[in-house]
Amino acid sequence: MNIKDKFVAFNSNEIIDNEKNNQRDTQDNLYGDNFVKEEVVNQKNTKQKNVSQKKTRFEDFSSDKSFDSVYREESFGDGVYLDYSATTPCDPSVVDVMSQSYKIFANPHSITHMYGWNATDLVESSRAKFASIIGAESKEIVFTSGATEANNLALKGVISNRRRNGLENPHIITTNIEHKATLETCHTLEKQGVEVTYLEVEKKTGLLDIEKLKKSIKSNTVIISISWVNSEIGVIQPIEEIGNICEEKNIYFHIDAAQALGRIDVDVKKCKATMVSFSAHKFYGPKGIGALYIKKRTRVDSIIDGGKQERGVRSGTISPQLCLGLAKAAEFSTKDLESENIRMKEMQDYLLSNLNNSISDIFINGDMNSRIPHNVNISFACVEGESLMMKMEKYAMSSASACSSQTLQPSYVLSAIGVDEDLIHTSLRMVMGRYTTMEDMKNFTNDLIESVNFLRNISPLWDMKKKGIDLKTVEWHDHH
Amino acid sequence: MHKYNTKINTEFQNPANTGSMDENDPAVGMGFVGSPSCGDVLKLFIRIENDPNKSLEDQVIVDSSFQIFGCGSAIASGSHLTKLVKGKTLSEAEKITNKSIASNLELPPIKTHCSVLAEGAIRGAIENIKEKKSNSK
Repeated sequence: MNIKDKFVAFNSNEIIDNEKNNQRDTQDNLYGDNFVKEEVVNQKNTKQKNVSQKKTRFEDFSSDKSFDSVYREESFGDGVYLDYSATTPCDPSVVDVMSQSYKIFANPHSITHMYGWNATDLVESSRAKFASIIGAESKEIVFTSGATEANNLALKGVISNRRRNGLENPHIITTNIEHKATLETCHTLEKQGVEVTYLEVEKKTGLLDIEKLKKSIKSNTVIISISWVNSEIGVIQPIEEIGNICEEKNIYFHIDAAQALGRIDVDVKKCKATMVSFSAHKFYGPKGIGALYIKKRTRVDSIIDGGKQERGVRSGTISPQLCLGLAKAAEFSTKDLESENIRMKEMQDYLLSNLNNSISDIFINGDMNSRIPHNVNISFACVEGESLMMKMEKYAMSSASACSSQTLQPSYVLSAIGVDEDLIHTSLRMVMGRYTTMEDMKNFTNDLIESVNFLRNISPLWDMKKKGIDLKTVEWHDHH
Repeated sequence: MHKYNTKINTEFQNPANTGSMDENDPAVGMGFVGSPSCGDVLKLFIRIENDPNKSLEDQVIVDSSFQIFGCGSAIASGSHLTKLVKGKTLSEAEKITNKSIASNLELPPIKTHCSVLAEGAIRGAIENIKEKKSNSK
């Protein structure tokens, strides 16, 4: 076989458009894609004889009973992962497809030979697939290293363009609970003379008040940047309403959808966004790739200089494999979104109702109605968050407690929604995802109740509270 | 959260001597440090033998317990402290420093303040006993 035939076999369009071969349902056709040479499959089969059981996992891994136990064991061991907002495990079928595509090695920007063309095809078919999932056109997608870069590009790129075109003091509106990728970008721009309004979200709920937003708009406002779903408290902002306002006032609307895709239905046209940031590893894709949707005719300057790849907006060689991984992951995670959300809601309800019945003095942080069902953020009075996580070391979670952070600074998100500093120290964030089962949640709930009780029993604050002492009136001796 | 060493982990998972003592007992000293907004509060109790033939400095600490609100290394530090003071005279216990607690437990540098908290607690407890004694004279 000559090399050209081989590459025909690696037709990248088939890798991405393989609806007819539903990978998850067909054990024999694991990779679903015709580009996999037969001998490769055979070789793999002999190598993986012992783990051939694994191959049944695509039946339906969203339901408790059929999720592949081998994959679970290999990834999670005896532990339970409840930190899906930090990252998600890369979907094994995404990994499979990606690893097969590593035969496409060339630089997708090499347009002088067939190797390059194949790589370009893979990138472009991935781009088209991803675009179709979020309701965009191919040319509206720019691949980046992740959502952080996408946010930087959206804000700095637009500001730079406006300034280049004569607007000296552009104004940005964002909120005080944005991700650091947005906040720090705004801080940098502020140092360069850009005006930034950090809108205060509502206390307790963490939701943005539309009237407040309207009032903050000025004649020099060029962009409003809001995250769709907050990573700490999981609240969903009224994106469509904000989109309408931006459209009406002719202001660019940037959405950070890093926590949204795969958890809520994302349609960039429906929410009237000008730009939307994504990150693959938040929806079961690989780490190291994200995307920025940039609506046609949006004026954005590049912020990285180089070979003017990605239509001149983002220089640097992009990885065809990562592009494929992003597209595949987006496809898989949006497919079973509705049924998954129902499952999440059941687990969230189970946890909350059992906690409420078993322990007192717990406080849910953030609105419960406009919230992704995956997220639970609770403060347990008189129990410090880090110690609670250590007590439950089997479960991977995070806390907004200062003691659990590298900087010893408590969470600015919980402060922003008015949570008392002492209750911030007692907060715990659990984020469920695809591989969380109801059984996990039942065990977790029991262990959580037991651990809270254990730590409250040794807590001087709990002891004082029980004796009726108002902790707010106590004179404390800070040692810091 | 930090990945702690075995010493801290063991001490944390099975903290020794948790609980309180009667604060009004003249033989009991109580040290109370930290604040909820800082994220750690340690209440340390020591009970001295109350031997009338010995000076206050030479009184041996026969029992100690603690209550804690704090992170993993704060709990480990409290537990370690109670073991450390038991059997020591007040003058010996007075010499316990945060450095010795930090090095015994191999606390990560970012958690040094937990050992400072422990030092503050034992100082406070000894002070408390001294106050009680001078008040009763």
